[in-house]
Amino acid sequence: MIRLLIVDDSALMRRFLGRIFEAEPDFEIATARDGAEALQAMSEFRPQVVTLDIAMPNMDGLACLDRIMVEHPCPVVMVSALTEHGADETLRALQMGAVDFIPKPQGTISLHAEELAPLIVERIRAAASIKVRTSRRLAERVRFRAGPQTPRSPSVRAVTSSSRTDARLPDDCVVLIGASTGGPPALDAVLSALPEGFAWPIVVAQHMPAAFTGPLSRRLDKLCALSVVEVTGPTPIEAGTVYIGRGDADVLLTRRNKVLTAISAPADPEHRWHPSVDRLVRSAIDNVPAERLIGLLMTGMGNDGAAAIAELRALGGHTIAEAKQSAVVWGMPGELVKLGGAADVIGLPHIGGRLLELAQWR
Amino acid sequence: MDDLLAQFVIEATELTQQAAEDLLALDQEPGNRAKLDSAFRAIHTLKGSVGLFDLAPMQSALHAAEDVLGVAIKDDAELDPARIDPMLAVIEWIDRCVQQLRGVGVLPSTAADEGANLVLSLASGRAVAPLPPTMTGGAFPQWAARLFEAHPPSRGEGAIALRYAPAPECFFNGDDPVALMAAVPGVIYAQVVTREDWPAPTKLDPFRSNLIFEGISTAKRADIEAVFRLIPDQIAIAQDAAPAPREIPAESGEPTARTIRVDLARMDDIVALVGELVTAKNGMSALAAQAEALEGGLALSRNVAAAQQDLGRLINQLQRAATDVRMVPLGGTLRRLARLAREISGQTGKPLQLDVAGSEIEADKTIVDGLYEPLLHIIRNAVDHGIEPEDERQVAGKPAKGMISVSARQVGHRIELQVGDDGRGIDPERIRSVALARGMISADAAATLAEKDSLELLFIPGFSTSDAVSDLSGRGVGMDAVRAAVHRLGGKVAISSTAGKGTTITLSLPTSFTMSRVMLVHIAGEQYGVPMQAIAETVKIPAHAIVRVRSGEAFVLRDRTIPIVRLGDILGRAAAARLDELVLILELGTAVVGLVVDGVGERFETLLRPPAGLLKSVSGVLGTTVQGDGRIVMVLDLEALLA
Amino acid sequence: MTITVTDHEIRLTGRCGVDEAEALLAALSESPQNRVVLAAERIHTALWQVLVALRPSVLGEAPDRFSAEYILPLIARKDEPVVKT
Repeated sequence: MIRLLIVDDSALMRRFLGRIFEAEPDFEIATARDGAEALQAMSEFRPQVVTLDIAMPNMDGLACLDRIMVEHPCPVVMVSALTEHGADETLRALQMGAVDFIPKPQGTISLHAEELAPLIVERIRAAASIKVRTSRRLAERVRFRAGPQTPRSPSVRAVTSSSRTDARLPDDCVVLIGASTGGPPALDAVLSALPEGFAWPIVVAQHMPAAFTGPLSRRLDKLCALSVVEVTGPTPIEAGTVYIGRGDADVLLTRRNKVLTAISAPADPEHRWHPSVDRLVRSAIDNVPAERLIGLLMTGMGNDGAAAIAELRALGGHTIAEAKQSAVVWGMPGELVKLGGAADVIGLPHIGGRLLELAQWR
Repeated sequence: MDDLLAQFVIEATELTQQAAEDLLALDQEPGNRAKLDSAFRAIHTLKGSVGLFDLAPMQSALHAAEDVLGVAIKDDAELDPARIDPMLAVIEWIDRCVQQLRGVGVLPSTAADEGANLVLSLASGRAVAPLPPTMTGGAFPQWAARLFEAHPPSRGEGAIALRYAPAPECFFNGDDPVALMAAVPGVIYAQVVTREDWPAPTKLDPFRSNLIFEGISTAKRADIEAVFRLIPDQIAIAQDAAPAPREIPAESGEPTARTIRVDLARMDDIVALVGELVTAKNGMSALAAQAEALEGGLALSRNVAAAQQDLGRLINQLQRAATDVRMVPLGGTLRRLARLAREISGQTGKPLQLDVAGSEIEADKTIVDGLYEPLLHIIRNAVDHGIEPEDERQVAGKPAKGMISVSARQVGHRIELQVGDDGRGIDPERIRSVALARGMISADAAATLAEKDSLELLFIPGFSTSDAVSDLSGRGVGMDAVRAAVHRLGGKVAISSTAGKGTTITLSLPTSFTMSRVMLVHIAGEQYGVPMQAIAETVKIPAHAIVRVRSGEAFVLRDRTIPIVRLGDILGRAAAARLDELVLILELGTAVVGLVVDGVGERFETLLRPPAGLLKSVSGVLGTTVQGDGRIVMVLDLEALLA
Repeated sequence: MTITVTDHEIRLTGRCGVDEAEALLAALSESPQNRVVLAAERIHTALWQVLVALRPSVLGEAPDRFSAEYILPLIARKDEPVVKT
């Protein structure tokens, strides 16, 4: 049995989620109306997984999450409105230790309540099996509260942008990063370890809804020395910049007038998760010699990216899989290791350093 | 109706009312932050709920309303009074939509236009009269006029002009505008224009839709609309000035609500019958036993048992359905309290604010109705004893308005109601001295009584601490009456207080009268029911094992001394002495008590009804149940009897 | 592959989905003088847009009446600017 605690101030939402899980024979459900009740249920019901609404009266979801992570560490899945504000708060929650989030139904085609049900069950089931690492979470939370470690001064930034054209390498080199569940904090850890002058552009496929990648990019841009932008249209890629593919769509590399350009393309239904890591990596292989590519696959459910990155390794590219001990879900990187596609298997704290080494050496 | 939608209708009705009340309050007092927050939350929650269904027009109107309030909150500004009317128009419209959903389960076809119109009026800050139920609105749009000019339709054709402006992001939603246009029937003319100039090829984003389609069709309007069913926001349709004879829409009339009013007595009859059905089903156990005793009756016995099981399942469902019918939201009772609070505020001259939360929580109608009286006493007490006069509050640095909050929440199968005030709190010292003065406790006890236990004294019948007998609560209606009333509903009362900060009274009640497992016990020739949940075990002990301890009796069970109570003594029916005593070991909270009875009978499941009529005033009775043979059995409230 | 690039022409066949638009754009940018041959069952708006924006010379047939009557002329009329709103 999986004990699930549903925390939401709306009776309707509790009923909606409750009904979905009542249909699953292996779930035992309890509900709570607000943060205070949730904390009580944490000690009495001892859930294995929690869904947490953000906007609640009395104690809001983030405050409640903070208490849960300290007092009863347990996988928490945020229930998020797909809005700018909802995205910001969800990203904060992920930083604070929530393992994943599910979108609130919105009555539109893609977010229709009935169609969300199987997705929600799958995500919660996966979340329930995640072991929350308190120590790491705690460290992240401290860092998150302390703000960025290397604040970037505006003047330094201006210099970089004027030297942009020189910064573009004669032979394009690109770091490709794929991530899913648990990805946002992992991206933060890797990207903020890289200095402003990092010589390779970085393109990221982080599985996410469209409303989330903008806030994610802005957030990472504040936290990292590199500048971080979302790819919403054709964008020539340059060193010193991280390109986050817009959510619910795919991000691809192409050449425009010989210039390597990232574009956001409608999601290819052949692939299940978007932005698709497989599609990004294959488009890179088509446009850049493999030895000038680094493929990094980090935490996430499923297997997206494993096949293409394994291919990349076979063609002579360098590949890295996040190690099991640091990944929230060791699905995608695990699959890559299984396919023999990982040249390095390293824990999250060391990935940034490894990228630096590789970029200098190559 | 889908139960989720049914729940939505209930919740939405409450929320629209809440939002409307808050907006009206803001109209009077534009700087009221709490009302602004409350209105925002109501609309935010409504929007979230609407998202569960396919109700896009409501969603976008609520979204716009939420934005207006959200901006005011973020900027810490007052809500522009010009926005209040359009906001109220949105809320009224939402309410109409909800009622329509309650009636016919779908939104009217005009909802999209009405919603869009309301969004416009919100943006412009003035209420707009609702559009007639067509897509054109009043004036004939210019683009359509231009189209008809460029390609005049032949007379009487009643042609339709359409303008399809695909959203720039539409490819990402899977749209293929050209394919959609190709699917429009009866196109006699079309033109394709670009939204923006084409950029240089290197800058071109092939996945950004940049074409706009305009055309004239001779097909039926409905057939054209069907093509763009999923993207009504990207299409505009206008009918030629000389239209074809219009189809007269079928008169739908007022949506009739799919609910009927039923005399509660009839409902009660059904619930009672379900209870009896349970008893009748239980009778089949005896039947199965008889069958088993017959020669070769084992198979028959098994079949009877299986039939009993099936019947049990059906009865459970029936019982749940019957229980559900009686469930009503707390809102009605809580709203009455709001009126009452205003009244009391006037009488006492103490400005008062009553905050109510959890109106949507449902419970059995008897419980919801029965709550009014105890809540009334609690609130009167709070105003009378708790909330200080205005000047005293000022000295204490509290807001002039006394604050009373009533909040309900569901905790498992129970509801918890908290009534809190921010008054002076209860002084345990004063309680002790009053209790002492009235001889309710001894001086010794008064000296050693813990603070928490002092508060318990309030529940002793006849206790009242007000020096001036107040008009409101000083007339002998104390907390004892509250406890008794809540007890009758199967609930409990707890009180907590912080001197100078206020008092909180918590009521915990069942949401419905659910099935209880009851064991029959015999005492002096009579039968009573005892709730099984309290019975840990039944033991037979020699009479001499019971020893006198101070004023009572006790015996030792597995190294544990257990006090003994004789049911006969409690009920005033002393039993004859005998060699062996039958003892029920009861676990009541943390206490363990042995209850001596003459004998035990069958165990059964029953629907416990709260005591009615004469029994209402008898303490110690949890409820009644009807036996298979029609006899009424009283089920004992052991906690009350042994307290 | 629904887009085939040879020395002189770019050929559209089968069902050309939205994801082919970038490939068509790349092929046309590479060799703007190449003819585009339409022989597809379906052409997504995204590809039509590339053709309308770059206006290569086009041969072959549009897959449906609407695109034949109202879109092809936008590509063919090289001398006239596309109507703008």
